[in-house]
Amino acid sequence: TAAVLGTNAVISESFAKQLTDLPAELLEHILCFHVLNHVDICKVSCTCKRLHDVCHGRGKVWAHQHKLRWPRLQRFYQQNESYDWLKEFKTRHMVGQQIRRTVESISKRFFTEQFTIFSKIVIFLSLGAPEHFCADELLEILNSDKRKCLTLKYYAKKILYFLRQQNILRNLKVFLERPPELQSALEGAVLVDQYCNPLADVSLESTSAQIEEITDKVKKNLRVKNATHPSLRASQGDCFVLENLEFQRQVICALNAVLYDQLQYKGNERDYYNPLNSYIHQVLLRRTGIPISLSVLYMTLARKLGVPLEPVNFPNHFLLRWCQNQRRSDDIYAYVYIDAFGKGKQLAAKECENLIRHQVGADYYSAISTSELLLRMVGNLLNIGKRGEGNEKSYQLLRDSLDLYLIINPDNVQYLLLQARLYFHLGIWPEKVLDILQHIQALDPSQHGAVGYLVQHTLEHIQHKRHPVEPEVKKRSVPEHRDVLYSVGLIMKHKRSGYNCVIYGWDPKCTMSQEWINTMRVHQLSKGADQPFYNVLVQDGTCRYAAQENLEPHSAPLEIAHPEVGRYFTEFSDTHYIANEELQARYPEDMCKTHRTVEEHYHGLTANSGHSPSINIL
Amino acid sequence: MPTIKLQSSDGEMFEVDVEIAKQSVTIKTMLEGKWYTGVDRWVTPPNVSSLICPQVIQWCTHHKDDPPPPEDDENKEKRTDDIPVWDQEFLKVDQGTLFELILAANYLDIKGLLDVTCKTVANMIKGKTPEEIRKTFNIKNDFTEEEEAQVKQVPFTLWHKKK
Repeated sequence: TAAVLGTNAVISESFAKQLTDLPAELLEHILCFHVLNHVDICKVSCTCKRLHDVCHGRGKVWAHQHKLRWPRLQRFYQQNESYDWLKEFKTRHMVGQQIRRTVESISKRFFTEQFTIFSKIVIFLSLGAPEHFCADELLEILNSDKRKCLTLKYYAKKILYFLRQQNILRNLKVFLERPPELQSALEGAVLVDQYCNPLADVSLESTSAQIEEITDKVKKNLRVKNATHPSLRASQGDCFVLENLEFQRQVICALNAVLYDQLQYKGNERDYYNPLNSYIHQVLLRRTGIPISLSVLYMTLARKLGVPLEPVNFPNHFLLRWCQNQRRSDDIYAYVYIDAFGKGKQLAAKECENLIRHQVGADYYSAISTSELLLRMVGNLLNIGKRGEGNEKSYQLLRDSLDLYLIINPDNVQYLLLQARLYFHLGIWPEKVLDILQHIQALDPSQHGAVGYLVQHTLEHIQHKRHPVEPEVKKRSVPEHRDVLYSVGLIMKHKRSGYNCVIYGWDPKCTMSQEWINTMRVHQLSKGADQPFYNVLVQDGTCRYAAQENLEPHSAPLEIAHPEVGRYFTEFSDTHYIANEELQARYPEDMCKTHRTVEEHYHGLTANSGHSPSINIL
Repeated sequence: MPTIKLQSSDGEMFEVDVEIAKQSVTIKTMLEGKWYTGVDRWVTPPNVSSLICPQVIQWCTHHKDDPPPPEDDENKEKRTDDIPVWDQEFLKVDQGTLFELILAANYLDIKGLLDVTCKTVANMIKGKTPEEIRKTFNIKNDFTEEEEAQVKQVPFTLWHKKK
């Protein structure tokens, strides 16, 4: 109950004529009302000594303010411990301000170039700002009003992505240093998943809980067939191995029945090269995957029920092996091989080769460690990244999987070189490129040819960075630009392809290479290359360069869900996008034109027609 | 309808319906206590004067049909925009009375009254400078000059919002 009697219950006959006469608990009660914020508390504490003491004394008032303002941070504090809540509040408040200032400043400096800003963040963090406070402030920015502060959100997202990845990387390093018995394939797979999806809500706890649910279903199935099976007696955390092969067979049988028949898990044959197949939380969600990810799931489930299966690095088609003898053996025929991708089908040694239509030696049938398993998993992602369309998403995957690969296998010269080339190609983080190149040089001096070339050009790049060229300003009013009809921020429709897009730049004439012009058959347009061309962000996530005659203002303007929108625009306002400072500096006369165009075309369009996608990032 | 008598600290007696009086958890507990068997039922809530007692009774009478207030969950947001109009009028009293009502509500454990009186005071604090707060509540500034400078300094430079 709310009884705030305290020890001051007996105040003889002195009536409370003044606020300050009230007992401390009641004053705290008043000060903890929702309407009073931290500013009010500060003012109250300046009034007199008594109120100052009430505000600061037992910490209750500031504890309340902290919880009110940042409820998400409560989980970082223990229930029974006492904290200096005023200090916690001040620190969090200051960190919040610093983060916002940093994110805002990033927009100005890195608008024109795709630099990574992470070295700055690392410096900032090394000054002692508690990381969970930084992450919390960034989350606050990301979860604020959906259509405003787009530029701030754009950079906040990149930073949060990076911060979380750093955290996960640390966890991965700790994981890899553990003795092999303590490296569960599941935990490794979760770390890989987290690193590639740092903004998604993936955790070992939730994944384990889902695994537990499946285990329960298998136990149920097992109970029907054999009510006295020893695995039924095991409780959740137990680590045991069934001695009797027949009991093991019963478990495997039940497992197959539940996983493939009841829950309908299957190998993803149709969309094999989708990276989602490699992420364990997606495998559990979509009930599909590739041989290695399904094997991790299968193996984890089997182990929980007392059947130890081992991962086998079979070329092209990952398998598990199940020992049929009492004692472990090197004889490949002493095992049954399980194809988790193929509904748990059991194969004898040489039968596996039918899967890949290729003969292999006995070496390929041996069990591998968790690290090797993860290396293969990450290698898969790397290959998908390499095959990608060269858009932001595939580059991100390539970068992430390379990071992971090099954590597990740090001195692999081939992949170090790939990483250096990747960053060089993307034009980002030249300092890191130099670091990598030095590392390669130390490992393998014979690479000096490739290394030398990259070093030279990277040094030039760094030099160039020091004297940035002023971005070109394009004014509509100059005679060369008079044929440019449209302006940045307008939502357009491509007349022929039908796609929706927003303009973020233009040129009075096509500025692409002759090769591009030929490939894209620009000459077939009625006005050819001799007309204004527009840089557009398209609904499907691509960036394109479209001719003026192919574009028209969209009849029903809508939000364009493109990841780079925040880089150029701060806000969506029903009919168009508002350019941020940096874009406006480049196109100083465009916003006026956009407003006029919007007036002309959409005059009378009252309610908003766009739908903002709900992205709640946890 | 059964009634109960309340005796104020200065000896006056007030009669009130048992159901209305039970809004006070303190009284409710007393009434349901096993040592309470007297036919002539009366309680003496401590430190509730004859001036405040009728006020409390008046509030409880008006609110007798209210649903019981929810458990005081720390996580529940206490909004101050929902002080009912009747309560607002009821609480247009001098500060001394207001504070006594707070104390009475606290001793008698009447959550609804305690909340609405405290909210009222919180509203009186909201948005004011220290000097304004002192004036409103007639608080004496007992800081020395140095103390005051120290106390003011840190918060204000940090808390200055809005660029």
